[in-house]
Amino acid sequence: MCTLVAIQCMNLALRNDPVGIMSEAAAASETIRVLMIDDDVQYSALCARYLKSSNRANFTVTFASSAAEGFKELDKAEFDCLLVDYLLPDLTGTEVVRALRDFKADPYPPTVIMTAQGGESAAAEAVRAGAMDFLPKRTVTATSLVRAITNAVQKNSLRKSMAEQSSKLRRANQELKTRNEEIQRFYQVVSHEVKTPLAAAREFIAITLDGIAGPVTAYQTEMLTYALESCDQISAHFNDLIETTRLESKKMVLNKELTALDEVVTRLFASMSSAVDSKKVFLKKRLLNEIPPFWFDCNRVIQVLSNLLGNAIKYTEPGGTITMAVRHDREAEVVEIAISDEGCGIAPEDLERIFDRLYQVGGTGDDFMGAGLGLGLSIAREIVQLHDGDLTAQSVVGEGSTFTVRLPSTNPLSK
Amino acid sequence: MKTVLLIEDDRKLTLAVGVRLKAMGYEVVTAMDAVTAIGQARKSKPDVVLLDINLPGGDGFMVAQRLQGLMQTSATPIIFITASKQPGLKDRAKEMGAVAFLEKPFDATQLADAIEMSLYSGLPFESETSVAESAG
Repeated sequence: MCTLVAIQCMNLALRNDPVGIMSEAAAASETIRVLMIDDDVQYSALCARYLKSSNRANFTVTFASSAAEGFKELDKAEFDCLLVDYLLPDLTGTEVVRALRDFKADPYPPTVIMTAQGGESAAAEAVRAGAMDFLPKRTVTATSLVRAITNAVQKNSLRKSMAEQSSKLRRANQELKTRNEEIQRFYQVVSHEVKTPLAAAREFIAITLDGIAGPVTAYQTEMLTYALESCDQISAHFNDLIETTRLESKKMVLNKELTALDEVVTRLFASMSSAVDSKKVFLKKRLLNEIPPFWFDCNRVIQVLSNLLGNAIKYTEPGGTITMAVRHDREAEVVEIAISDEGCGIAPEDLERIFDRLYQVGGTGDDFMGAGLGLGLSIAREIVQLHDGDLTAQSVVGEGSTFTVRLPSTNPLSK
Repeated sequence: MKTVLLIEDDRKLTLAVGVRLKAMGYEVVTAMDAVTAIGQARKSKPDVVLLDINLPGGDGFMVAQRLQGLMQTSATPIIFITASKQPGLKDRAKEMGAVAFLEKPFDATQLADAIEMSLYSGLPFESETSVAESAG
């Protein structure tokens, strides 16, 4: 009780006496408000004198004789630094730091712990809990005390500005995420509004092409076929846009099931048959060894392989052959699906970039085959990567290209 | 002659699909909003319903539920058609007992397959992909 009264008197005296010790440091521009929590009144007074005599900053010191009292002071006023004796009557320095961290609103002031001799390990523990620094009480000098406090304040302001930066980044990131979702919704709305009239246009063309509206000449048939292909291209482009935004916002979720790849390939070949027939190319399947059923998203893998086969068909001249070779690497636990064409091949400078989003080989997009949006391969690679697999390409100009999908054949549940 | 009830709010698509269905040999009745659709279904007792999901006056799922509750159409197969890429629509259609799900634009073969399957086999759609169910 006696100590408490003494400390209160000291607080009063210092607050009411701005002349005296405080005036010596008044020249310094920066004011550092220190809260000193120590039940040793004389030691507290010594530290206060050290601080007041410094010209590095204008120190103001408030005293508290226990952690409880210190917290009361913290509720009343703001401080730039806490100077805390490790052994307080009610809490240890570590406990004070933890209480600050857990109960005081961030940012709480930095803490310098004062230890008695031999208290280094306790002090280290306090530092781990969040104290900024520690000083052995016995060897404290005016210089070391001032340095410890100014360093703690500087370090803390750095920490604060870093925290502000990272919260700014978090906000920016959140904004981007929202923006991405808006774009995704926008594409969905546009796609929806375009596809119904597109479906009507496509169907009118198909009806005419099929002769339901009257006889069609061979030349008209050719023209209408192009129109039909264009409708399908528009539709595919919208699907690609939606897929890309979905992948970007990490909204694509795989629906992996234990599936026999062979059945998938059979379905895939059936769906490609009209494109194969109309281009007059040959599509071959080579099963190099037994492929056990494995876990993958069947529809997504079909999407990837359709894209690769579609490209292969597009770039192979009539009469050419496209081969899909499938093998199971038992050792690496990988199923490898390689699609090779006899097309014009891809130049090395293009090969490096074909998986980049929006990259178009040739760049102009005015070629009659339709260069596309340049999204197909990037979507394909991302879907394969979602499976923890990879998609690569090799090519020799003039000879053809091979795209290889590697999918892990391991059971994802056994990991 | 089998009757197809086509519920679709786009006039031109209704016309185009109507012409196609007639050419395939079906009788076609149409409705362009949810309310008319229910009345039309009661009156025409269709053999199969082609049902758009986005409709004025209530969505396709609501219409499907009403149709399944009507005596005249409680067992009529439903094929959903949609231009929407919103995730989850296909699953909802499946849950509602739809026999097929067509994404716009669809071609004549897809349309013919869906209708024939719903009329003659009654198998739920995509039964061929459900091979892994027992292992899952």
